[in-house]
Amino acid sequence: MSDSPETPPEEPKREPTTTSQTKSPLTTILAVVKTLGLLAVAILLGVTFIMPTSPPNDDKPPSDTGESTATPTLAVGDDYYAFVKLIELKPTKNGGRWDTASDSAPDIFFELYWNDTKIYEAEERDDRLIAEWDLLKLDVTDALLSGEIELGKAVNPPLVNVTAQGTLSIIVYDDDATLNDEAGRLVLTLAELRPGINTLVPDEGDVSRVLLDMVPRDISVPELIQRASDR
Amino acid sequence: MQATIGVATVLLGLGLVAPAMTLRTSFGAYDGWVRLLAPDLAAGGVTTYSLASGIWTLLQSSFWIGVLLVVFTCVFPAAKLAVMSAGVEALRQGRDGGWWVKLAHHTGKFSMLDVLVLAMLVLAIKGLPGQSELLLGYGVWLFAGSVVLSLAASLMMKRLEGEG
Repeated sequence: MSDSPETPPEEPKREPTTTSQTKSPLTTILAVVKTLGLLAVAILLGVTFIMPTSPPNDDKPPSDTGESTATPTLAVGDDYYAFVKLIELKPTKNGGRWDTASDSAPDIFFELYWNDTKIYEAEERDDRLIAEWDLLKLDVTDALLSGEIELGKAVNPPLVNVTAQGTLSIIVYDDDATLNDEAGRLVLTLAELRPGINTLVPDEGDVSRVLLDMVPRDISVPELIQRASDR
Repeated sequence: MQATIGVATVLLGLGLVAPAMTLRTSFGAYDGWVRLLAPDLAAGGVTTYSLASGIWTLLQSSFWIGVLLVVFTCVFPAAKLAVMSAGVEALRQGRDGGWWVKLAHHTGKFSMLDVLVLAMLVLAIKGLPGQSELLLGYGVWLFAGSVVLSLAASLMMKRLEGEG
């Protein structure tokens, strides 16, 4: 008598492991993260070591065109052109007409005194209440005769040197055939003026306002031309 | 293959920020006069841009063109490399690449667009009067290298997919 061979016991069924299946979404996501991380590191290194400097900004501040700058007052010891840009007179002179013979407006001109010394007399501007003068003026006759143009001669206003106690006086006249009438005067302390345009309003007299542009002597030619063209 | 994708990624990152183009303005025979009389106009005669700074400048002036360039210069190449990396990882594990691989193939088609834009820029600047010129820097070559390597990785991935 022989027994039938015993069948080996069945191994318990093992559920297929899900480790690799659960692992795979993680590893693929990890691969994405690693790639983006590597990209970020490369960008960071590039920005630190090889990125060119920023291109110039288009909205950089414009060159000085006459408006007052951050410097509060003129620099003592420096030279400036005292450029009277505009003078406005009041509509009436002491309540009456400017020209007793007619209704015409005054003929305006002015004189500049630096420390009580006359340094400049402006050309007359006829029949107006608001008169303007230019920063640059070219004497064509002189240029033709000499055959050369000198920039220093083309600059119209006079130079002054700023000292702590130095004064600049502007005396405004109405030119008459017989006697010039003084319309008003301003006595200014140079050290209290500002670079660029100073708007001056006298307390007395028949002058409404004066625009005085203090232009640095060492201004560059392009800035000088820019300043002259800024009406 | 992961190494190829890694190198392409580094080249992309560096290429985006490295000097890509130098613009040299000139006013021809009147260059000196313009610089004397209008220095603001002539300021910044030589300016160097990277792809990133050029795109940033464009965003400030022509917003939608800048957005377009951001998408095709930064987003698509980065997305392609990330997606390829995921696809390669899936194939390496013996699984089907699935939508990762499909996406990698589609995004790859747009990768060369900004190199074309740069070429058009060079042509356009050359046509301007006054002999202004646009010179390409090594940033463009780094970026192009990244694009070429990602194309190579894409081909390798196709072969890997076929073998799987």
